[in-house]
Amino acid sequence: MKKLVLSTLLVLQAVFVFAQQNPALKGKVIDAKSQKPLQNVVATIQSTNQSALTDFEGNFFFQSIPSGEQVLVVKSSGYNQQRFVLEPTNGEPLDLGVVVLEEDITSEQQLSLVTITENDLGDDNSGSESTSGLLQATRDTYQQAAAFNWGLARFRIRGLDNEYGVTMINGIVMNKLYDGRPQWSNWGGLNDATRNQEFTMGSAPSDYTFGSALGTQEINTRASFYRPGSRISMSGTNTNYSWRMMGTHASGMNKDGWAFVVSASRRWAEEGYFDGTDYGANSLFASVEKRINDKHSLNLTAMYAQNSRGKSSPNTKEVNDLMGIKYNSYWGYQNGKKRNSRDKDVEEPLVMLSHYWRLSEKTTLNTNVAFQTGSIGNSRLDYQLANNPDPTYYRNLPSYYANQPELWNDFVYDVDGNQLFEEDGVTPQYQNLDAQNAGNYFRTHSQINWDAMYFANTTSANAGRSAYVLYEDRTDDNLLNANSIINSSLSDNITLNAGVNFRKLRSHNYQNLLDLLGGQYFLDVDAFYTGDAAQSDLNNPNRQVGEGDSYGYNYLLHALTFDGFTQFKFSYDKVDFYLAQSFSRSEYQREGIYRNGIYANNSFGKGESITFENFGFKGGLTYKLNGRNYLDFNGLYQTKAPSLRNSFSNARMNNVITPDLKSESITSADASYILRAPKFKARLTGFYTKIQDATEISFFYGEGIGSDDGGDEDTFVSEIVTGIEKQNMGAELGLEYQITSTIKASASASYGQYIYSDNAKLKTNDDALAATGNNSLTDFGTVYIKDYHQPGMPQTAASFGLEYRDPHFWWVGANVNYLANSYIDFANILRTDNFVVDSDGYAFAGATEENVSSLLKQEKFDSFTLVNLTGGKSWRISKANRNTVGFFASVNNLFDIEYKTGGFEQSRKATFPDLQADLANGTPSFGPKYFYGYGRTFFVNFYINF
Amino acid sequence: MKKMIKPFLMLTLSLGVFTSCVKDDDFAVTSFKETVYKEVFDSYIVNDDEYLNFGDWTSFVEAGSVHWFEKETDNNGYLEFTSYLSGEATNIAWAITPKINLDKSENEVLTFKTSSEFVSDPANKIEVFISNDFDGTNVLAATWMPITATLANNSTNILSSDSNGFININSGEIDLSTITGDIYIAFKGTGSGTNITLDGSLRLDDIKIYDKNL
Repeated sequence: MKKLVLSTLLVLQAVFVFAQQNPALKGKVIDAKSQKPLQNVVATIQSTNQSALTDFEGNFFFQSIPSGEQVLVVKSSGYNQQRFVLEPTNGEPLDLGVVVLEEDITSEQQLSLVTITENDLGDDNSGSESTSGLLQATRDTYQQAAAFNWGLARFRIRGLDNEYGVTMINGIVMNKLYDGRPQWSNWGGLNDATRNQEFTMGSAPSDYTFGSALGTQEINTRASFYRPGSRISMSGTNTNYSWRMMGTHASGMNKDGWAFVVSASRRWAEEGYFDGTDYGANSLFASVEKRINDKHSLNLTAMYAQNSRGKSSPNTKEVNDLMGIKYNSYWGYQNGKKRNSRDKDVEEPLVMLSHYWRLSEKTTLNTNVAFQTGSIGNSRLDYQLANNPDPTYYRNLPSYYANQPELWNDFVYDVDGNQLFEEDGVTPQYQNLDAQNAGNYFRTHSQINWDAMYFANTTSANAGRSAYVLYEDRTDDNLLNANSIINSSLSDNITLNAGVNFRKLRSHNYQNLLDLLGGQYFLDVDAFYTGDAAQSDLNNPNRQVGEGDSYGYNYLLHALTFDGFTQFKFSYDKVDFYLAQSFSRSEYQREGIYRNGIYANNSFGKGESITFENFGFKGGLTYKLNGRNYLDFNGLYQTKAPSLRNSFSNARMNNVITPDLKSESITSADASYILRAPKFKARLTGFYTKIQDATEISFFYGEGIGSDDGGDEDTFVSEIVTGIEKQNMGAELGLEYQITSTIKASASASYGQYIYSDNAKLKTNDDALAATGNNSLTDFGTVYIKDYHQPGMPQTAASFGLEYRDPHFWWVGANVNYLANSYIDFANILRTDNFVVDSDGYAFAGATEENVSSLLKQEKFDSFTLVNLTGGKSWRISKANRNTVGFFASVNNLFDIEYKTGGFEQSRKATFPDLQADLANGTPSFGPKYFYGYGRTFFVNFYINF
Repeated sequence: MKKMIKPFLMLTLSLGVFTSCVKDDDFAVTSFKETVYKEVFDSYIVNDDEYLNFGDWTSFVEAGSVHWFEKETDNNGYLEFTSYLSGEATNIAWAITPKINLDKSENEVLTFKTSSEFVSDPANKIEVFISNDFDGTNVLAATWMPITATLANNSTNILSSDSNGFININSGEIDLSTITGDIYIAFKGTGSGTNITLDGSLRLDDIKIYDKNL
């Protein structure tokens, strides 16, 4: 049998070779390490999009090539691509000889990329995570610096949020309809299985989607595209997890036309870098392809990535000064173990059936149907008629006492409590003993006290009724997603891409009771209100709920979207250009499962549905000065439907559609100069993006906004900012110079100015107002944010790196990075007239232009410099095959620099006199909260490829 | 190689110029009507039933022992003068604002509010003065010019059903535009603890000096 297979293959091979006589261009591709031929490597002549695959012996052939200077690219996943500038003379066949592909070491480095979770502050299930996920595995020097060196500091390419990028798996869009951002955890830990990726930057054309202003990422999971072999790796690190094991096997296509890939990984930590952040993630992946015939292939992909992690708290300066930057207020000891009250759990498995159809030599049609189901939960403590369990609650902190002038005195006491005077040899100092005591108490009671909550619940005044419970804000999504993408070479110079994409989402959102913490039941009422207003569901009032029951809020979001695009790409000797257009339609609707007591008339059942129709145009051209120098231009205009999240301003409570809701419009342009010399590569790009009519809804617990009752009762307020205009412009630079055959230097820089280019409008929705029969919406008019900086990312970044790669398969690298111009997320409500204008129409006492400006000035974080080291080595363990073992190691932030990655102002002191009083003695009770980056961290990975 | 570097630098330079414009101190701030001086005695700052010791105010007793008091009723803070039950034949007390500078403003007018309760005689009264030579301590040594304003008196007593925090008589706009330099404004209360026709309550709130043309 074996013999038969072998001989058949040989015969076929012979036939194949026969067919390739007298080619115009040929070459043979081998692996640098094993010196073995590489099969299925793609060689492409750039101007024509003509491409060829290498055969069993690593040979590729082109029957014809256009005359004039041509660029040939030879690439395969996991290897560094090679480029050749060719000058064919008519009729003369070209033989490139042996093309040696070196393994791509950055593919090891990718494994060390940590997904940075953005502000854990969201009171909703937003998937907001860093953009660096978008950047893995790119070739571009600049993008590599952005991913590997700046990603940890929350750098964002062009200052754009993930929602302006499109992340796809087999062309299926993975950006969530909820907030427009991809949920990276859906394929977290599957690095090996998601390695086949294609990227585009900015609005440059992708074969799979129209895209937007940031770029696109397409992950291909077609089983036959994986390099056959197995790989096992084991890693240790001290970032968000401690350990990772991963195993992957790809079969390659067998003679019956079957190919499969399986991969599994586990990542875990008892405690990550920040205190009390546990981590557990298990991921499974399988992909099976059946080649039915030359024209048809079917591929089934299944992904299951489960992730559970404890979050860490942002802290005020006061708290960080007392406890250090690793302090996390979310956890407490229970039975000797650290238990985190704020866990994020993601478990959203995905299956996808793909059909690949070669309609002709020149046309392929790829159709995918995907179904994703699962849940995201963010846990949190809830309490009724009991003290706030948060150890950093403002009444527990020294500032609460320090901000009460009457508590200050200049008495000094000895240890026994006797007052001391100057004649006792002490100098009386102005001091606040209550503040000192609070500080001392806080230092020893800085964590969640689970035992106290159990005690309160078991000794409750109403027997069995829990005062404290742990719940999760839960989202259970069912998403059906189908698309079809056609790719056709209409002529040698013209390619058509077109696609349609259909999505139907049913998203169930509710508060899910996780743990009664020793009690028997929890009463589903809002103790802040009385009568009907206290009822979360008038249809089932005063429910006693237990673990696993929903309570508080419960609703469905329905979304139905359709989008399509067409794109024509033209390739000529001197110039390539493209034109593309898109259309999309989005329909959203909320359906309440509860009849809320405050909004009895518009909370239950289906609400009004809203529809958005959007379109986009883009185009661009690449002008080839010669084979080494290029000029590239791209332009885009599109409108974009608001996300589901921003479409319902008070989704937890009612069906109301966000007032003044509009589609965003996005205008974007960039221009680049690209140099690709053999030893020197460079790219310089200038970019400009304008986003208009954006909407942002945020939720926070506020104190009667605009009133100075100084009260302590929190009400859940949603803040609706509409008409936001953002302008991002800047320049990016990437340079790479091969100094010797072993030493390479690279430099990258990004200088941007990302601002709000106009003022916006602000309204709030306050349930407390509705509960008393008033209009829940308050119009605050203009929010003055023009020329404020977009927050939470360094707007300036620069990197310089050196890399030594020894011919004996080891390498070391070091880079130094400078990051600056990062700003705090400011509180919008403080930038309205309400902040400064009193009820008499005049400013509050003491409010002058000067001191109002100084209070409202946006905090700019200190710049910082990070040094990173990387290195690795691999060994061949067999002469007969490509088996290797190796390791990769890196140290990030070598000098353990402490730096802020972001922060936000609190909205609680919303008027000038309130804020001034809170700031009076320098330690505000409601000061900004900050996020810090990792200090020195390491990552080590051992692997075996066989 | 060298050939490349030149255009590169040019490009970088021009992009740099192109992009740098918004400075950290340039940002929108709402435009609002600033006041030269404003005191509303915020309820969370004044301490109810305490001698006037608020901020940089001066409290001075000219006769008897009764000061102006800081008061708070129904979330409104204000000042009150009353000789009720003082047991003294004459009570005179001054409440004097902190130093107010009029050099940086124009068209200034002064407004404030007063109210009266249980006031039955014009001699139980508030008077208002302005001084530009008060040294901050010696009240009687300074020159005090009387100011004409609409003031609460025996004919404007609030009803017993009104909140004590209801301060209802607007002074009207008092022109200060011809005055420059540092000034003080004094509110002088006069009453008696032994003559029951002179022991009413006089209250003061919402003092404001602003540019009338803003």
